[in-house]
Amino acid sequence: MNKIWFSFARHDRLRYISHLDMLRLFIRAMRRERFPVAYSQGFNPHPRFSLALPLPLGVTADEELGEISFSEVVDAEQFAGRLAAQMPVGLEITGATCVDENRLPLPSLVEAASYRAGIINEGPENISSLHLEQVLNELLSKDEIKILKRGKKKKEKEINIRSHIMALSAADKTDYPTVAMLLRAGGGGGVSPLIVLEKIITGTGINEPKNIRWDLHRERLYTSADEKLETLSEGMCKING
Amino acid sequence: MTKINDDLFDSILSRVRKPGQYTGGELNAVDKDFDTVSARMVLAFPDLYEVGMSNQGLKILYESVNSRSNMLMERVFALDVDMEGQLRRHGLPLFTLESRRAVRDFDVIGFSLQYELSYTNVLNMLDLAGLSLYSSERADEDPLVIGGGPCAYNPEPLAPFFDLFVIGEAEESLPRLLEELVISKEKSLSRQEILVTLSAGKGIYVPSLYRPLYQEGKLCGVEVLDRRAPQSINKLTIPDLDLAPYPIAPVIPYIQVVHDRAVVELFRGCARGCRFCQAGFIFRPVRRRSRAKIVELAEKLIDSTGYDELSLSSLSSADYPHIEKLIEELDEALQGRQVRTSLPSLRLDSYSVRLADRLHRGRRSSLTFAPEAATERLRKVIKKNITEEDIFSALDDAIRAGWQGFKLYFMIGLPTETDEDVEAIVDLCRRIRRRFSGRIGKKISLSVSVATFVPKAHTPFQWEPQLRLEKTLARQKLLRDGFKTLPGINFKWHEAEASFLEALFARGDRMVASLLEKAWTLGCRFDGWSEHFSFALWQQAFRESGLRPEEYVYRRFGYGDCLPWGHLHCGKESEFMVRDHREAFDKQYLQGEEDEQNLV
Ligand code: SF4
Repeated sequence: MNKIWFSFARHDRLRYISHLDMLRLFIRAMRRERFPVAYSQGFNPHPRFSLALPLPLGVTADEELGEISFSEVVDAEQFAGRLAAQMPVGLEITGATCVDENRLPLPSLVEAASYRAGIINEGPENISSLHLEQVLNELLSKDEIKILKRGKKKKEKEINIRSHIMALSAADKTDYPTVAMLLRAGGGGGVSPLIVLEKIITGTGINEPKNIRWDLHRERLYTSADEKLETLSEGMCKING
Repeated sequence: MTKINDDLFDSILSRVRKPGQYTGGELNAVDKDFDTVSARMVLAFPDLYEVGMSNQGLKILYESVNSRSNMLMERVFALDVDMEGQLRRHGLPLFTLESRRAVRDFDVIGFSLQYELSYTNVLNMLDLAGLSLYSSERADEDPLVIGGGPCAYNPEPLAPFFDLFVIGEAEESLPRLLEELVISKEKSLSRQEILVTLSAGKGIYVPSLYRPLYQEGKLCGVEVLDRRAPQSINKLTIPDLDLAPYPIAPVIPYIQVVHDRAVVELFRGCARGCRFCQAGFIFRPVRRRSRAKIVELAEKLIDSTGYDELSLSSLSSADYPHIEKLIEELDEALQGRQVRTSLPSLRLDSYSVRLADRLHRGRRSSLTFAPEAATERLRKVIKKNITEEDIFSALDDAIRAGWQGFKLYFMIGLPTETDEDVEAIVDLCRRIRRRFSGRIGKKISLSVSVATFVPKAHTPFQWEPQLRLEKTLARQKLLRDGFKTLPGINFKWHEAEASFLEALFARGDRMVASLLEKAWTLGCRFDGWSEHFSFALWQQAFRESGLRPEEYVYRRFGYGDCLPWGHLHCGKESEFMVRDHREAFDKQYLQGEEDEQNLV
């Protein structure tokens, strides 16, 4: 067996597909290339393939990661090249490397993700960058930011997401005000960027939130190394030596 | 030329459910230069993308036209209500997936007519495209609006909205039709002249050239309005499946659709002749694809798509001769590729169970069977020739082989049916439950789905009325009450009102068209989807249009009566239909030897 990590970017109309759609798309591409994908044992064998962190529908990304196991040795560079040739416009393979088979599964390594969200306001109301900064600071100064989460048996539960927000700042992009966010993510707990953005919009006091849409982009995925965050792709390069 | 700009498109997509259904750009979708091809057609499917992209006919036609370098076919599906709202709000026209160009810019819009309850969507799509609904009101430069598919076998309720119908299998003749259209356009013929020219082609029905005649409100004949148009229309059939165009590199959807897998059609048609079954009659004669061709297509499909499931489709899979040999050869060809093969439309007998078993090896999901009726007497009437012994021994075998789920399909409202026949459905399920003592609802899941019989054109039951709505509802209540005493069995039934409408359009004539328009104006859409279907709106449409649906749905046609689809021929002579219809009632209590000679 051998295991490969690869990185990719998602843009354009490919943003409109879901996490499951992405899984299907990659698996089919690999099957078309006839890579020796390894399957799980049992009645219902599944390809041993996963993506580091589901990418929400509507979100573009620069540096996502995937992990695939093969039943025979596959050269990482060749893999990247052949997979890239199978990708539709909007999906770009940016690198690949072989990793130790016994390494922890990729999804379990993710601890945080950074995002940039452009606020596109299609209504008449104005959100200035200055105002936005105030709203963000206010949110950060709170000890508790509560949201309702639907738990088991459809019961709604109040949870505090404050500790999942690691950083928020306003950044000016030429055409519209932009928020940069660093949020906890992955198996250890986290919060969806869409929920945080909703809180921000509520904070602005805008009357017609339905006029707002996001140009939401995920920049990096992070894991921790020596108590510090480092990007997963840095981790990937390190293996490469 | 109209195209939607990117910014606006993104803005719209961020506000609708499942935006991936509107973006296009899937693997194997065509990207041809609109301006350099000579004929451009849109294939319009009047239901959501997830339904349309599961339709094999659509993929076949896409291949048949796009394999010609001088022709282009793009796709459009019905817009979900939120998307419709967005388009109307922004004043945007219906656009194709491939080039995001307005549908009305094309030469031809071809609707795939798969089920009657999509008719309001057809009108809605024409309206969204910015076209007049009525053929007579469209201008020379507007696209031709054509239709095909099973519902085209009784196109009369749609006749005023369409310029032309293709009756039968279009995969070979559609490119020819487009070619003729190009030639006629080059000659600068008027729309009317073009239609007259095209009407000479086999299987082509131009409704505006035929006028239905009525006597005391009853249809009594059709008058042919142009002597160049044929008196009657014969359906198109392709002679040889091995030579027919087949999509070996079909469009692969990004988003989840209902059936998302490689499909190879084993054979077309079915000779079993169940009397209610329209597919069984309109797709005759039975034509087989050769084993070698099937294996070749399957390999190519798996190579080009990456699918991990292969479905061997047909109307009755176990009827394919030497199917075990075929499965062996496929196994060999696809060895090590992790492809699971499935055989839909299995008969309820031990042979089929063995086949399913052989295909599924480790994976045992559920098996679907359609006994249709629960008493042997009624099964004889409808010519569904299986015995109760078949049913039990098939289930026995399947359970022994480790299958854990079963779906059984029945119908109510069949000709000669009584309350006892309906109660027998519950009784049969009770006995199945007892037989597998204590396991049903726990280890073994059993779900029972009961539809309502809809008499269809070109079947031996075409003369029969539908069971009255009140009675259908009463029989559904009988079933509900019965299944309440059988916990663990999952019982589902079709909405009786929806089946009522289906019957209205399946056997309606041209007068029904105005009702359809009325219903659409009142807001009817997606009538096949229970979350959208509103019978109250339809009842309002009945009142406002003055049409009495009962006169169509409950009418028993006599053999001598003029049928709305009487000028369209589907191969089986009317004497056969009459004889077979009579036989259903003569033989109802007899045990006869089954006629197996016609089988594949
Ligand atoms: S076996 Fe199935 S497809 Fe064939 S006629 Fe009967 S119901 Fe129709």
